[in-house]
Amino acid sequence: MHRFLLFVVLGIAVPTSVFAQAKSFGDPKISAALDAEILAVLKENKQKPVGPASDAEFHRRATLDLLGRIPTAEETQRYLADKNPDKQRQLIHRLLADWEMAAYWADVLHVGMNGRSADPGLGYKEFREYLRQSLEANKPWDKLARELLLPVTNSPTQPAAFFLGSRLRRENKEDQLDGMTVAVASTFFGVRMECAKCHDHPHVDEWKQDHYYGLASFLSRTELQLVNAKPSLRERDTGDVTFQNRKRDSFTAKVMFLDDKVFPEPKPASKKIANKKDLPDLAENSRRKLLADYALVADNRYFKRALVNRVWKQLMGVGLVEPVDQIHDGNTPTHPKLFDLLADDFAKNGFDLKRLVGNIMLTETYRRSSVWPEKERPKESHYAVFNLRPLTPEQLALSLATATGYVEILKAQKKKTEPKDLRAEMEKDYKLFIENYESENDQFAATTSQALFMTFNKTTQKYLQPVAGNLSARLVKTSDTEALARQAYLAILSRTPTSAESEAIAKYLQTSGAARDPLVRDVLWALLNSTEFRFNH
Amino acid sequence: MIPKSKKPTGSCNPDEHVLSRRLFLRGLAAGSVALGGFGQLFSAANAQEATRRQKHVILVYMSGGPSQFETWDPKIGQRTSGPHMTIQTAVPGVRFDEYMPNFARLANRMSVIRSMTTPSNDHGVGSLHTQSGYFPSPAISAPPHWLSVCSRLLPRESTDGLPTYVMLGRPDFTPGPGFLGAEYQGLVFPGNGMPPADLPRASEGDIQAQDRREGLRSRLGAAFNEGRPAHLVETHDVSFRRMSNLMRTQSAFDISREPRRDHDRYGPSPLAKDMLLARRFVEQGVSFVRVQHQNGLAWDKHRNAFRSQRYITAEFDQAVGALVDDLVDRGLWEHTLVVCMGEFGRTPMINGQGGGGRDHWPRNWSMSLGGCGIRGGVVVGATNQDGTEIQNRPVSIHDLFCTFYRALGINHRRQLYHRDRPIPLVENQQGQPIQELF
Repeated sequence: MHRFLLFVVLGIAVPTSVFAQAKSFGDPKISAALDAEILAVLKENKQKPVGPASDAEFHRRATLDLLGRIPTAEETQRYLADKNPDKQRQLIHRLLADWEMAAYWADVLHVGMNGRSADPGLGYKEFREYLRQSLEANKPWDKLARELLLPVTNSPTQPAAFFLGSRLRRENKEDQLDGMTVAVASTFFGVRMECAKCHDHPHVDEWKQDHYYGLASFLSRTELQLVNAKPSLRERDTGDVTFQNRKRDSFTAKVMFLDDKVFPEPKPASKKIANKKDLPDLAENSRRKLLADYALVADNRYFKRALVNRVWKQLMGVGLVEPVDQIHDGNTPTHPKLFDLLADDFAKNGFDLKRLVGNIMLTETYRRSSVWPEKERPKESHYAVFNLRPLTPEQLALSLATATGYVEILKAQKKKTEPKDLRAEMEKDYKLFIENYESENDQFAATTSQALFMTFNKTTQKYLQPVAGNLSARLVKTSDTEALARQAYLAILSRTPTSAESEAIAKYLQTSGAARDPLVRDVLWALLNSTEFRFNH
Repeated sequence: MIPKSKKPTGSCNPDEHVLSRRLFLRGLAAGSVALGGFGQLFSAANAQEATRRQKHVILVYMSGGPSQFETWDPKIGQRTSGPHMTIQTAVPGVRFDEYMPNFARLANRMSVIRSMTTPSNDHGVGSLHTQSGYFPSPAISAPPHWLSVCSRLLPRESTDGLPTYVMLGRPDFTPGPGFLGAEYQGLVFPGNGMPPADLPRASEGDIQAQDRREGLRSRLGAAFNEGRPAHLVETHDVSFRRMSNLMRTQSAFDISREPRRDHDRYGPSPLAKDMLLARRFVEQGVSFVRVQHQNGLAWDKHRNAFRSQRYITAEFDQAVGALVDDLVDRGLWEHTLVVCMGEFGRTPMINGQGGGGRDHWPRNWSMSLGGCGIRGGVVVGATNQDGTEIQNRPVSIHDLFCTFYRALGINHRRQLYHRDRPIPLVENQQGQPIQELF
């Protein structure tokens, strides 16, 4: 029965998404319905939302969220000059279709699945490129998820083996299985079950040890092999998971999904495989395939909600359910109807990620100002005002390079071979930003070490040195201070300066006893290290 | 000069201003005056003032898990004994490893716990657990390092720009400020006595230039901050003010200003440089110093352990011994809690072929602490004859944390709040202070 269903879903999935891409991303009716739900909760709490963000703010916000960088000065000027009343929608569509979107969201998905590490290990580069290509093609999420679970060796999907394979590189068997189970539970099903490993979950009635080990049983026969130093997944056709409860009674785990569905063990495979090297990608009675066939489908309530919650948080600053991968009955979403609406639309429309993103970004809620004029700022989860979000390490790295003109130079150098992935060109810089800005548990941290890094580190300071074609060089040559302030603000803060700001800069450049070039660099430094630059607002 | 923060004057002690100006001037003077008697004179003055001010902690973290058999709980003539000999300490009947002559000499000052017992034999879990007092779990918000908690509860009243909490050496597997937020993050120094990464040697002109552009930065940022969440924008701005302060207080962490003979007494190891730096910090009023004994897992000796064990034990002994001597000499001992520990101990049996070693062993292990009112010369708990089990008085990580807080005058049953939820200082308010140590 479910096999048939899967066929139907996949059957529609591909043409729908291709169609959607050609036409538009997102449905205004869905966005309006989301807004209505947000307003309903605000009304219940006797709160009123603030008005919309300025043109420049919205433009910067959307560009950061979709391309992972601030806009260039030219992009900002073009947008500000555009008189078309529909320009916000057009901007979002343009950004969703941009090649840079695929490269940036490859990072977003990678970090969501694997966390951030300055050295993610073998197969990471290929994995990221695989994600990038998948996003470029707007591959439906169910198809992508299926490939992550069932990569085919020596095919374009082999790099997807990094997802489980990186967990299989851990030291001992228990950690390997735990790593795979936790990653699959969190990424595809939005649930965290670490607590159910040693005992039935203490706070979540839904999660028993049977569920943790049930899910583990789908994965436990997976083996990692390296083919030309690239991870490849294989599967044995034997082996069960055993576990103990607190009383130290031992059990053999059932092959069981989160919804209690148990899969009986089919008859053993016909032929024995002696040598590990000869293991096939999937065993004859593949348990991993069983999981993919059963769970990565439109009517699976776990699967259709997991990514929606993550994407919502990515764009709005806080998940509909928090923590973002603890979606269970005891953890009520802040906006239950909105969550269902968005998840159903996602599943019904072929798991089209760009449609999902468009649906959210075209809401009024997303367009709100981040300024709260009164004293007590309302709860983040009420969305009465836009939530300030610190730039991620990746966004900071690329935004610094964009603002100071390094990206332009890079693009000019690569003119003949259009770059598909700026990050690949600047991987070393990204590493440094991750080392300095990765924070524990999502918490915003601003440390003295970061200030030092942005002020004195060789890598960050090279961007401020005047080099033919970069911002610093242009500003040093600009003698009119008003023009200088304007260029600096457009390039770094993605807006024009107020007259007070222009004057402050003019005054600063007249500091007596100091040479002009260092003063110009000071202006760059001051803007690049402003709170306005540090946050998506 | 840098614009002073606009704190209500009521919270400032005028003495502190005088003091900080003097410290600042001293920093300038010392730059142009050769080292020697002059520096010594001032450090004595500093020590007095710092003594008056604050409680301090110096935590020496022995990452990897030090062997109790090759430190504070050696066994003689047992199947579990290693090749090292033992020596008599200043406390009759108590013996330490032969490579710890300084700890042996100071056994009346420091105390030892031989019956630590913890649940995890994993470096990551053990390090987080033994430095936060909380067993790490994805189900709870990140618990802070206990020195972050101390920074929050015993804030340093000072305007001299020095940080409250510093971490010397790469803090791998070490909890950060957790839910307390970045304000209580220790400032990281790279180790080997070196200043923080990226910090340039700043001249008076550099400092003025930095003040000038920081002025521009905060002027231009004021309008944006209006109406934006204060906890985010202020944290960001504070980090830059702290950086400016750091630039002007560089002499505080320049150990090249310490006399040659002090360098010699602490020894040639990277740990020695950091212990010297720790002393210098405490003398100048920095409250909390975490010292990482070598980057990486230096004490994690699984294989060929006894080829190198003696070196690490000896360098540790020399550097910590010199520190304790100095703290006592300079009148800081009564206010400074010194703690030496790792994340667990090592197996009684020497495993592996040939040049074997000891594996991870959390069930019974040893550590040492002293100062800040901790009674000296006490040995808490005991293991059995061959060190395979605790014989009496098991001490949990909770007991240890209650003891730390009690020594620092912090109520160990106190709670902190995170998103309106009470979070006890010690996990589930478990444990009791170790009475024998007070």
